[in-house]
Amino acid sequence: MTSSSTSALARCAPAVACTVLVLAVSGLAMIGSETTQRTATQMLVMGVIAVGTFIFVGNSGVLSFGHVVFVAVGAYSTALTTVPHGLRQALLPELPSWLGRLELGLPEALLISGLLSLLVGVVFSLIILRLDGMAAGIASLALLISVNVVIGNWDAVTRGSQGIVGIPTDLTIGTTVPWLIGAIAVALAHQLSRSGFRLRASREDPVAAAALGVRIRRDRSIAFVISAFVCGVGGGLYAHFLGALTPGDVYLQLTLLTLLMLIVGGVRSLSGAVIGTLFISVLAELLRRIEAGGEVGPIALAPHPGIQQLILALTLLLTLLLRPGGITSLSRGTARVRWRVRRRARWGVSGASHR
Amino acid sequence: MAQNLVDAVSIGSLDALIAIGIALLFSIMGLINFAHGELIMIGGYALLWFAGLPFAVTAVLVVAVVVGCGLAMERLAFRSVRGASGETLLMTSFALSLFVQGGVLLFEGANPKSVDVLGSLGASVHVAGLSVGKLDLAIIGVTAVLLLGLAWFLRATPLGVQMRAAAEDFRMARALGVRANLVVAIAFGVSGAFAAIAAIFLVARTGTLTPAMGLSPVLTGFVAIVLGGLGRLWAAALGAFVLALLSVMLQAYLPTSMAPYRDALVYLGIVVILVMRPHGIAGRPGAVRV
Repeated sequence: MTSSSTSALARCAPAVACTVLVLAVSGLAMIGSETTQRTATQMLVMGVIAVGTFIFVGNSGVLSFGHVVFVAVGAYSTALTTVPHGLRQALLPELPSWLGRLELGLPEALLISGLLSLLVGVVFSLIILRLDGMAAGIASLALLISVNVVIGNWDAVTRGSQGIVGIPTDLTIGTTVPWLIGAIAVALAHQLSRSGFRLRASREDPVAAAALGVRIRRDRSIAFVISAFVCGVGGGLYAHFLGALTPGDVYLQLTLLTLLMLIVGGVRSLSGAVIGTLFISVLAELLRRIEAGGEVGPIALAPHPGIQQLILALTLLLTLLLRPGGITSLSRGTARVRWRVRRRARWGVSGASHR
Repeated sequence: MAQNLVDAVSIGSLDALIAIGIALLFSIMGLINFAHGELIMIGGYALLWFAGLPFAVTAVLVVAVVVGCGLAMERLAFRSVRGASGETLLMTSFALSLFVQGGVLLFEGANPKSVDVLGSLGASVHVAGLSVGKLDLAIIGVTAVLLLGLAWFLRATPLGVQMRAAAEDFRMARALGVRANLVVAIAFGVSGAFAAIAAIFLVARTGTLTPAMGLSPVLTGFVAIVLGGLGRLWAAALGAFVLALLSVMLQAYLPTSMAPYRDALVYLGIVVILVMRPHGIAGRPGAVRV
């Protein structure tokens, strides 16, 4: 009894450390300039999305290109319920009248967005979770594209490619932090649950897990819908961070950024997701400033469009090539040896011929 | 109806060129190469760099540049992750694709550029009441020749046989003396050549170049492969033609109010096919790990 509760405490430790880290970074940013505060807010919002994606991708080991769909559902439903209703009726006259009149506070809107995403997640889980590995990746990408086409053309509700404007930009570090901590808590609770444990077992060895009676699809579905809920909430926050929402904001670029944060941080752990978000957010912001050009301290820089994408992609590439476990994997050496052995096993090659 | 059919065959031929380039690498090393789109994009920009030379010279240079880039990708990125899981390979190619795109964005800028290739092929010829673009005829003809050429190469040459063996069972093939590095490099080279030729036709049809132009063709290529069946080359070509037929027919016969949702329907159709037949229309179970 005692030992099991100690080990539960030990398993909470990384999540607690992450929470402390998030609080420390946010606290520091609060005394910074307005730009720093905005960057930190963006980081917190991306943190919710990354943790939400992690709940499924990290625990199940199944790659999903489709989680931005939930972000999109959350972002649009939060936008539709929080834009001041006078402006909303002017923007979207064809909206059903009950929806046109509805005006919610941010927390209620976020929870409703999360629930809507959860419903979409239930539908998607029936489709995607019938597939595995590569086919699941492609199917989720196809769903992302389909949903994006619909959002881009459903003028009556989403205003098509013009997008929704006038979303209140009332997010501050203080109002965003609780949501990220909440997301971390949800992720932790899922990881500590029996279902989360079974899911990780199936990630390590699906055949053995199935033989021990793990119903992999059920545990994957559970993680998937929880993940959809958190991503939906993250999407709502994202809409309030941006202030104006177009279909392009919730598409491939955001997908890449999320996966980048997870993989660079280390896709298999919650702390990896959080640390990856911190690291990539800071890097992306620095690169964005270089890209925009202008004065950085005493140095004048010419604008360099493309440099952000170039360096972020290079970061991902180097992580995959040199440190497949992400920056939070402790023993680089061990990971590499294991990786080589696995490679040798599959390809029957001698290590010497390879490097 | 017949006109739609001609359009479908022409679009399908171009898609098939792209799909085969991707399927070749997939069947040998399980790599879904996102960066194939960037090879096409580089081909497009290479057309711009070598514009003004006689067309034959330009074409050869474009193919050479793209094949070179394909080989460089293999050596610098994919060789180190060869044998890793499918997801790692997919992410590596995704990262590589964005890296190349960022590089071209840095040097060429984000603004679309226009280039006129094969201007004389813009005209149409009239056959039995149908108007067929000369460009369409060229695409169909060249694709047919390339597909037959590839089929001959894979059947009749020692290297082709080694490639087929590697696609069947890489480990066993190696044990029997197939040189992995050579076979993989040749596959990347052939894939690059297909990308270059697809780039020439694609740019000839649209006339514009942007750093992001590779995405849409590569997505079409993926969908074609998934549709046709993973792990078989001719199935990829079949998938391309089915997809083109589906797109053209939906375009022609969908009510106007539904027309904007055509792509959504096409991609949903892909999901349905994947769920019903995870190995594609002509795939065989067990050929790949899906």
